[in-house]
Amino acid sequence: MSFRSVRATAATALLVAVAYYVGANFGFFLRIPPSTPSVLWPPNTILTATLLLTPPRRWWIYLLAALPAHLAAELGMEWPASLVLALFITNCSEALIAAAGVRWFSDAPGRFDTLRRVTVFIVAAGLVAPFLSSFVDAAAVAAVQDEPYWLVWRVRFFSNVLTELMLGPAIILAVTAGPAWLRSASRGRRLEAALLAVALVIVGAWVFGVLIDRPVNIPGASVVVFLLPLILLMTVRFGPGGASLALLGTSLIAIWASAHGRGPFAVLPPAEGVQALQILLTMLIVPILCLAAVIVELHQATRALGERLEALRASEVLKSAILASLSSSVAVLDRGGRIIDVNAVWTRDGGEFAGPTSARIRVGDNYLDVWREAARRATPHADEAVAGIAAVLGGARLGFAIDYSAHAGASERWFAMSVVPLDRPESGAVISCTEVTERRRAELDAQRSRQELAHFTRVSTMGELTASLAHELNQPLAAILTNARAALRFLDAAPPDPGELRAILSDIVDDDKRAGEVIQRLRDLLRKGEPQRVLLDLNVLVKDVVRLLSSDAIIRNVSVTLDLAAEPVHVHGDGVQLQQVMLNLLLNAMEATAERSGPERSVVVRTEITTMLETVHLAVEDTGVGLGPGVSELVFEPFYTTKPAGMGMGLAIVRSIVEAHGGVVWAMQNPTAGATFHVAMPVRYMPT
Amino acid sequence: MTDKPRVVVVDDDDSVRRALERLLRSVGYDVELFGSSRAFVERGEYERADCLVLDVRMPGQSGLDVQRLLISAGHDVPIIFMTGHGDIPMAAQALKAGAVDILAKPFDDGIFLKAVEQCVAKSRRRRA
Repeated sequence: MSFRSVRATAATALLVAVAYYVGANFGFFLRIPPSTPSVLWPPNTILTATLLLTPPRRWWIYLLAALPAHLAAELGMEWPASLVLALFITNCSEALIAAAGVRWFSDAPGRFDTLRRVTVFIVAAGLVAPFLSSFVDAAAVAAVQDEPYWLVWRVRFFSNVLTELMLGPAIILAVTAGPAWLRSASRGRRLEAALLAVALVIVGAWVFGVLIDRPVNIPGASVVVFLLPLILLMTVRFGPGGASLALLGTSLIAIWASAHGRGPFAVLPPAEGVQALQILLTMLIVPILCLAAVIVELHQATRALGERLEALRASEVLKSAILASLSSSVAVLDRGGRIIDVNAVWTRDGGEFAGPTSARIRVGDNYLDVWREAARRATPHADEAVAGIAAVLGGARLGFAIDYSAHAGASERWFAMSVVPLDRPESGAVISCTEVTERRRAELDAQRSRQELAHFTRVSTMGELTASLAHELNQPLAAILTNARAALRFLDAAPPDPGELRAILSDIVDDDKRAGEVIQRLRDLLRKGEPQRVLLDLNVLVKDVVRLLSSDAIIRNVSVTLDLAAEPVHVHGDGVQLQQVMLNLLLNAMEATAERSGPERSVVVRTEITTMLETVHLAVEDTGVGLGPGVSELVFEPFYTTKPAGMGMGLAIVRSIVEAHGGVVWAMQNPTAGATFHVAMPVRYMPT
Repeated sequence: MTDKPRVVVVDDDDSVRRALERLLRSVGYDVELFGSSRAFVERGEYERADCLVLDVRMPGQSGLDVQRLLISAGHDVPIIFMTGHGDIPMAAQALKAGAVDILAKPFDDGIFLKAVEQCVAKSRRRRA
């Protein structure tokens, strides 16, 4: 314990002792002669309040502090010391039962702002503690003073019930909430509290006959009728604190008046008068304390509700502000596809271009029907849009996006529509349409540039291949010419051999076809046009390109070996572009191999399907000069070249084409000699 | 040994090989065909040929390699080279080494047969 807390504890102990002494004397003072018991007995309640406001480990200090006060107050009564000590013990036991009970059952002992807390206090401190402790008390008094046991029990019980209920909340609230109220209350509130207090004292003084020195002619319980409006007003205006102070004031006036033979209760015999007053006050206190708590709870509930409403309103404002500030057209659909709300942009544009036509689309229209109508007129993308929106509305998909075009006069405008489900029990969806014409145009431009560059590099690649292509064409041409001449000579002979002539003509036809195929492959490779995505077998493409390069391989004295997957290796792509990928990779490999002198001058092309990764894999392995350190990262960069006449575009084109097909490329140095270039692309399975 | 002159053709292209065989047969030559330099070299019996027709560019050993091999082994067989594309340094080298002629594919039968005749004549002269 620090010095500060020692000092605080000591001060509290002193305060408890003083309060106990004053309270005891006050209790003696408020007796209705000639009966011995007090109408009100504050010491027990002072202890109860102390224990409720302090931690249990210090309770013993305060209880011990109260002992001298008890002795000082009661020894003056000329009672035997044993009785005085016994009464101290019963007083302490009452406070301990009350404090322990409240602490055990209440979520916040010392507070009276919920019905539960008030009820716990009334039952534990107001009922159970006086009830139990009164048995011991009555036994002690009966034994020592020879008074009737049940009379003593009854008198003590009622007096302690009243004191606990009347004084307990008043003391606790004065200590816990009083200083804060005095600091923070406005002048108007202080004035109001003062006026109510004065009014209560005046009315109380009047009804209990304090001002006139004789019993008032009002029936006992009716005094409540006069005081109740003021007590209720203080309760409503000042909560539990106001209520407990009003009740305390009322009780003190009533008891003081009765003790002095005034007011309605003075007309009864003293014992009955005291008990009637106690019961009346107790009956008044219990509902008023409950009412005060209920009022606080109501206040808090109302305030919480207000805060939640305010938060809700703020979030509504925020949401509509967000919706209004979006540059996209946004609409909310019900589960049937009907538009139930739109944002400011949609309203401004009248829903134009928020659909496949320039027709206006308004709240109440069925958005799904708008697209269905477009699909009936075979508008591009409409079928897909209908299916996508319907799937989101039906809960089959968690989102859908599509680009669609709409014609505005001569120009074509592009829009991106996204559909997300509406997160609410009735379901529905949110549609958002944004114009993407600029982006689309830029994409098309980039695509066109890429195609032109690819075509240009294809043409220049062909230039490099001229020699070998000439060889490739000259072979069949030479065979045709020679065969034709031989045939002519055979015809001159007599008789000509028809079998020989047929064989010659058959060879001529085959060689003509062979030459035609070379031309066709060249034409395919040089074709300039829109890329077309179709199902292709990579093995077929590899074989075509290798055939085209076979003369080149011979000229460079490089052997090309194929190690292809046994089954077709299907991909979805553009044949011309993918052939260019292989052409560039093979030329690159053959050039690298030709540069190196040595017996092993070979290029191996492999294809395989990696089922686990759902990819196809193409590898071009050479025994060439290989990659320098760190070069494998660079080779795919545009304008990176090691060849004096090279443009450095071949492998860059490879990468851009493969990536446009959703694939990746990489290069690795071989362990022995040369390098291997890899291409991996998504596999496409044949529709079965 | 027959009276017919023997011409050996080495070319990796089946069709070209067959066409040359027919042409040579039509004018009465005895023809022997090989699909690669290696097949010809391994067979040996070089002296049996009166004329050797070699394609320059072939997988493995080229026609020029065969010429060099024969010269170094002391076999003096008259050679005609065929090439799919003109290559002047190569032609000069082949002629310097003693080739009878170099023909660019496709070539006319007259020129080809004349060159073959020259070879045969050269070969017969040497043997006589």
